[in-house]
Amino acid sequence: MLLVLLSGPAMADTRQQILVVGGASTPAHGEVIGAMTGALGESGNRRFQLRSLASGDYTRAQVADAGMVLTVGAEAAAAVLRDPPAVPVYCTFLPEATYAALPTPAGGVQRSALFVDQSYTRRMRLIRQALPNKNRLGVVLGPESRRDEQALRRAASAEGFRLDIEIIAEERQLVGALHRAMDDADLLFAVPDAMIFNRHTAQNILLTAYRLGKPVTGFSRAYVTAGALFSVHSTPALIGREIGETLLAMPKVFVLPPSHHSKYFEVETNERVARSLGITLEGAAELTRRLHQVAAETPQ
Amino acid sequence: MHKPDSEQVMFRLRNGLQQVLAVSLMLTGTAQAAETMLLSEADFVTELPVVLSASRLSQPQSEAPAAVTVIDRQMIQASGARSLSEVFRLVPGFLVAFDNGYRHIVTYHGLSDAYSRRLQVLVDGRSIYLPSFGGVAWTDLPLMLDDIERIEVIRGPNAASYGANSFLGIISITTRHAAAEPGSAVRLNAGSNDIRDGMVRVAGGGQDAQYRLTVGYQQDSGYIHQFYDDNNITLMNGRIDWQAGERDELQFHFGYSGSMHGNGEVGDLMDPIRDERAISRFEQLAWRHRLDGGSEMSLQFYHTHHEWADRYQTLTTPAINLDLKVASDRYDVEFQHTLVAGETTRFILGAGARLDESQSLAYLGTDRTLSSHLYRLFGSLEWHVTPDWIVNTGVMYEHYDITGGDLSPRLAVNYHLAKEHTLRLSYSGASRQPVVFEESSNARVCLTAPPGCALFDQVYLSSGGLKPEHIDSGEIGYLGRLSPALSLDLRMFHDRIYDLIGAYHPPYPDIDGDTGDFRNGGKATLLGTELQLQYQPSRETRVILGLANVQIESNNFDDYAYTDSAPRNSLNLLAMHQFEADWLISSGFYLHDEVNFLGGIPDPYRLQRLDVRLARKLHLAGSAGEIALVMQNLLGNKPAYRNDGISPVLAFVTMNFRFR
Repeated sequence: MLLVLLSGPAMADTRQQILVVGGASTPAHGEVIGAMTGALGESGNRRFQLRSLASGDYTRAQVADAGMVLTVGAEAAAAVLRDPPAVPVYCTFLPEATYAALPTPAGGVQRSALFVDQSYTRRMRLIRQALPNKNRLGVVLGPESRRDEQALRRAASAEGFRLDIEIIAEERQLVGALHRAMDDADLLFAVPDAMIFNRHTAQNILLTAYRLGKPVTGFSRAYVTAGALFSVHSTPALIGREIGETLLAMPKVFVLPPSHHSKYFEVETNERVARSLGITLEGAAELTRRLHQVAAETPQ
Repeated sequence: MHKPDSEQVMFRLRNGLQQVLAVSLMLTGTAQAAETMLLSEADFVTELPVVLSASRLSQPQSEAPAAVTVIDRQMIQASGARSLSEVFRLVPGFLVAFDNGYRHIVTYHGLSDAYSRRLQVLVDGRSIYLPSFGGVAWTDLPLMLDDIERIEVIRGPNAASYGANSFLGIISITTRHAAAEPGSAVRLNAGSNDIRDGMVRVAGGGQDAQYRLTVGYQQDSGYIHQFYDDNNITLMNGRIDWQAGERDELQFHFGYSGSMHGNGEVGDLMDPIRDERAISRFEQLAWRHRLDGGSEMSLQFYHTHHEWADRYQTLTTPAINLDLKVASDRYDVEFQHTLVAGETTRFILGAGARLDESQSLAYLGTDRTLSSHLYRLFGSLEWHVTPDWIVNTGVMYEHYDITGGDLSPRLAVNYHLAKEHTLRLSYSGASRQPVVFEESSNARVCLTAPPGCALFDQVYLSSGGLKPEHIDSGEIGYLGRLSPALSLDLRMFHDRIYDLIGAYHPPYPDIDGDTGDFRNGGKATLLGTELQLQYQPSRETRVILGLANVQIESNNFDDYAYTDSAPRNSLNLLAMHQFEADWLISSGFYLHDEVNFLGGIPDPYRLQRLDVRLARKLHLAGSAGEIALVMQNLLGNKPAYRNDGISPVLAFVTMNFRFR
């Protein structure tokens, strides 16, 4: 099914052409594409012709007749925006901070993004829903995430949280910073930063917080499995679904929506960690439902 | 078909991304930004190893097979305690008394003399009750209050999990991880009663290995005015935590304490004033290895050494030379395998061996080292039958040189009546092995120096052949959160204790015509209720209340007044409040009915004690600190155990700074 769609019929085709870059890099990217084509369905298939390309193979010439370039993942977005086409570029499934750091193509090329991560507001609303009595968040920012300090403070003040922020420049400062950030905080608010929260440091962070009896709110399902208390995240499948729906909602000409976080998300909780920390949590499904409800009432 | 490892792919992807971005950023002339690592979607979808696995997570109280009182750092600090033993006043049913300034007595439900032998006390899993006399030399512990992360007190026997001596209760102290407070810290205490304490701590390290080293000094002039019972303690302890890869963790702990205690009484010819020396040290190595699926293996070894050196000459004519040295060593190794079987079941299987060595010519009548071996096998099961029903069961088999084999079972069923309301029903059996002094004492005062002995007084002479003491304990417990701010822990227990070991005094041809020997024979039935309330209406305010009622019926064998050895009712109350961000006030109030310690002077003693602490946080350049005024024993109560002293009202200032 997927192959058929992606290769498409070569004969005189009047459908709108979309060049998809980076959709087959990993199983997760494949999941995005799978969910996207599922959401496009038959009507999408009649309307669009998708042509697929690996990030490494991308050149501007490859765009040819395509009316839009859809990138999946940060690597694809970087490859495309380095050699930008004249048509709109819709960058999906990449972190907001990485998108912001990509070069702005000259010549007013239209571009926008669908981020893989969640807004701070959404994450803080989850804390409010799940732990109504916790008001103080410990945060460690690194060289990359420190750019977000103001955004983080704005979200916190709007949602009624107090932040204890520590900023570090090198990984070796992490342990000390974690302790300072958690001294008076109710929980650790993990902000994505490749230097701070990675596979190597996850162990240290989760163990340190657990020893201090403080929960960690993560930003991915994996973090929850590893030992964070909960997280709200958009899975590849949810991102793919939203891409499909966004494409279907586009007018005849490609006009991109403004950059946005996915409207689809789910909450994951670690019941075992909650119990061990003596925390009572609503179920993940109930929290997801409530968060959707809050999002519907007060758009973020 | 080969399925690509998604993690590896994601890593290649990240590397690829860094290169692409570096190139594109260089092209656009913002090269320095490329030095920072950028996030990719991999950071949101890549799997991570399970860090907080089922075997690592501690059991929540609502699922634990016993009543547990947790004393956290905030409580320790708020209590104003200067020495470790004092914090146990915060536990319902516990009583803290002083034989003198350095011999602190911590008991639970009575049945104790100056050596409280029926509690298991662990520091980071290391048993610290003395093999020689039993009990814990609290003031000789190479441990500062500042280095304690939390204390869990299990009220009731639990030998199936904690082994020999887990008889009336278990105190389990966990010290802070080496990475818990990186940087350096100092503390200074000064106040009445010649209180002069100092502490310096340094801690640091990198991602994988961290260290902590604490050096401290404590001094005071004791608790009893007319006695020479002052304290000068120098101690050091350290810890190294090493994360050796994703699966392995190593911990090394070590400590040393050397102290000088005043001993004797002015004008007492047989007990002249003098200095007694105590040395305590330990080394401990622990290894944890994580297995797939949340299971874990651990191996631990430790050695502890303790000695009292008390050498003096009586003021009698002729003068008698006494050397009351007592030394003991404990070597212990333990292996444990935690098996996690699915979401509902957790098994623990383990085995251990212990060698205890004691040496004391004065008390054991020989300069040989007396050794005893203890081997143990244990298993336990935690089974979530349904989300609302939890079964905890376990058994420990121990083989002790002196008393042979012994089995300690445990069964507990917890039922969640409703969310935040749990009912617990449990049975637990335990035994206490006789200590070396009970089994093999030969304490005598000779008029001549060894070798040979012109006997003056045969103080103790054990005939040996003791059996272990036994306890069968049943309890009903309730644990509930009555409102978001109020939680309650209620326990009703019935303990049947038999074969209690006590001293008696058969005739002996010496100066006083008798000696001391030990035999089994005491029986006691304990019936009681304990209640613990925690009220925390806000972040700034916290109140902890404990109430205990215990009734002892006993045959009072050999004139041991077991029936009066615990107060009928007791109360402990700790309240703390933070105001104006930087000010904290806390107060502890403790009350109990009359009690007579075994072997103490029979003078029923009641307690009313009030401690108050006022603290202000300090923020000085680059450091965070606190200065506090602590006033202890404001009602001027006696120190218990002995009735011939007056415990002073104490006031001291404590100041600490952390630099990082």
